[in-house]
Amino acid sequence: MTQEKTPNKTQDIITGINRIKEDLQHQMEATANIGDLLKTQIDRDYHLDPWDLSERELDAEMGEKLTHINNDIHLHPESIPLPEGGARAKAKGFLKKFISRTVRLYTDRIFERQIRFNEQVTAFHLATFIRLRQNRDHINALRDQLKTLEEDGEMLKDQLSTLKNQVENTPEKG
Amino acid sequence: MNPIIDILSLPTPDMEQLKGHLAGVAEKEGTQTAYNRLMRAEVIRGLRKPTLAIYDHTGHLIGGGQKYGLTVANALKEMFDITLILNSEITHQNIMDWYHLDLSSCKIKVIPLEFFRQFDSPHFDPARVSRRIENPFHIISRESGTYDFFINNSMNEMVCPLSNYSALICHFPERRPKSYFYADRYTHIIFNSNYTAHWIERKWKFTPHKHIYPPVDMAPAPGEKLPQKENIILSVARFEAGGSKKQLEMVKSFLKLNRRFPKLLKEWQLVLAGGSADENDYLKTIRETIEDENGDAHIRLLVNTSGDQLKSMYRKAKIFWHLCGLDQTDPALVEHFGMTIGEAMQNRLAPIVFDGGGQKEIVRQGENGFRISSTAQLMRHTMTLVRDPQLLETLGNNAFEKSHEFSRETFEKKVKDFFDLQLNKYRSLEPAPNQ
Repeated sequence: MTQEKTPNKTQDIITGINRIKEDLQHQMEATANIGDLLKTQIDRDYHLDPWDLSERELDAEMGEKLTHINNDIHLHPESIPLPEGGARAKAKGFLKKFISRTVRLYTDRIFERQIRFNEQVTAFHLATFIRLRQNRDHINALRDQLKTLEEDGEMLKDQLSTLKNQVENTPEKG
Repeated sequence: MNPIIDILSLPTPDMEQLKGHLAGVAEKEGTQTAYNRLMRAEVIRGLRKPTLAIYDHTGHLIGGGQKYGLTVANALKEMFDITLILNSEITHQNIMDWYHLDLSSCKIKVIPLEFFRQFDSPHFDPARVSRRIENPFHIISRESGTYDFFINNSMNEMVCPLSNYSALICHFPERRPKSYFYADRYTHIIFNSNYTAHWIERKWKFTPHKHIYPPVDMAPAPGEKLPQKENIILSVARFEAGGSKKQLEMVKSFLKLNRRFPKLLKEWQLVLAGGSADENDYLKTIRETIEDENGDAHIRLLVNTSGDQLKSMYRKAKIFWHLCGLDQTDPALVEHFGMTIGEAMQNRLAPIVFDGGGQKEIVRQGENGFRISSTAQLMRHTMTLVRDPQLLETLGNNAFEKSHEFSRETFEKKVKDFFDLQLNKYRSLEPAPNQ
């Protein structure tokens, strides 16, 4: 039954339904999280198997990871800010800061060594990445040479075949 | 579902009772679920025509994928009240001009994506969206929940379907499951080729549902007066800046053949037709190669040519070259189906195409064309056809027979049959797929 042929009662039902739908739509608009609209978790983590990746995807993955480790080279902990609040909280904060500064006399040396290590590792991975790219360029160049040889081979085969036909079709001199 | 139907079946349905029931559903299963049940009940009771939305975030650009989605709309416009959801303006006249489809009965709804205004590009690229920011496509997710059926023709898995029924049309699974990945939440995945299906299984780890080849409609109309075929080798492909369509290789191969067989190829011409957004460096290199070594070889470039001229080339040419995928290791850069090959086959050209991707499904070796994996093979098979006009004609005719499998008529029938089945299920009291 289409709306044009609907008698009044059905039109009342449609009007009533539309009002309810409007209310529901307002509620949906007010729901911040998409998952809450269905009362279900819609986002999850996915495991990425590097063996599944194509060359281009591996390049992108390596580039992304290289960026992450480059950004994480420096790992000094952030200084502890002085807390807001009463005397007790402030005293706690001062104590934390004092302990942190004392411990840092020792840990700073470890952090410096770790940072130097991080820099070396990052540089090594970057060099490996560049080396892989260069190898790929060499392989592509070899492949192009092979292609040319293959084409020349096909041409030679065709020429030989033509010559063979010519010889076979040439009548013998008596 | 049944309590809602029961209430609505009464001579005077109690709206307060209905509201109460839906409030209970919303409490337990979410407001969208309550809304969806009410939507479905309306259709089951025959109170309105079912609604369907098709979303395409690249719908404002011309392309084969876009044509696929709009032809789906054309097939279903009698069955549903259709809305085309886009992120940028187009008109019904654009659709008619680009694809010869009359979708004037379909609404067009433009939902701008604020996030992409910061990028100076007409492409709304989902790759720019990471987990660190709010998903800009969730505005479309919400919109999807206001229709009975929602079809995502976007190659964009970041839209979470909220409708009762949803379908994702996958032209190729470019993205791996990462942030905001919702392809597995759709009722059905429709795919364009077995090649695409294979990669959906490999990348997304599930089996897609329905195979429908893209619509190809370059065939001559019944009774159309056809020109005499000429000795033309045709290629139709975009002049991509990265050279993925291999026109340069085609030019070099043709030049080599001309040097080796000048007499045999004296009357032959290579025509490269395709679109190019701008005069990119690759196109420049092709032009320079042609100019440097042209000699007696006849090579013609038709860049951004008109539809009529392209059609004319298809009618006249004898051989079709398509090398997209050659030397390519990335499966995303291999032809997923090859619509231009389909167009060539509809015009009785003998296709010589790369042996990979979707092309393997439509070109059968030695029967309706040749598949090659090197330019050496390309040259060999081309000379076979040049020397044997009878074989050339046979392959062309067989290619034409094969092309019926992906005509527009076949496409629209498959779409109608599939969605007719889904709509019948929707109208019955069978549990809704997304519930």
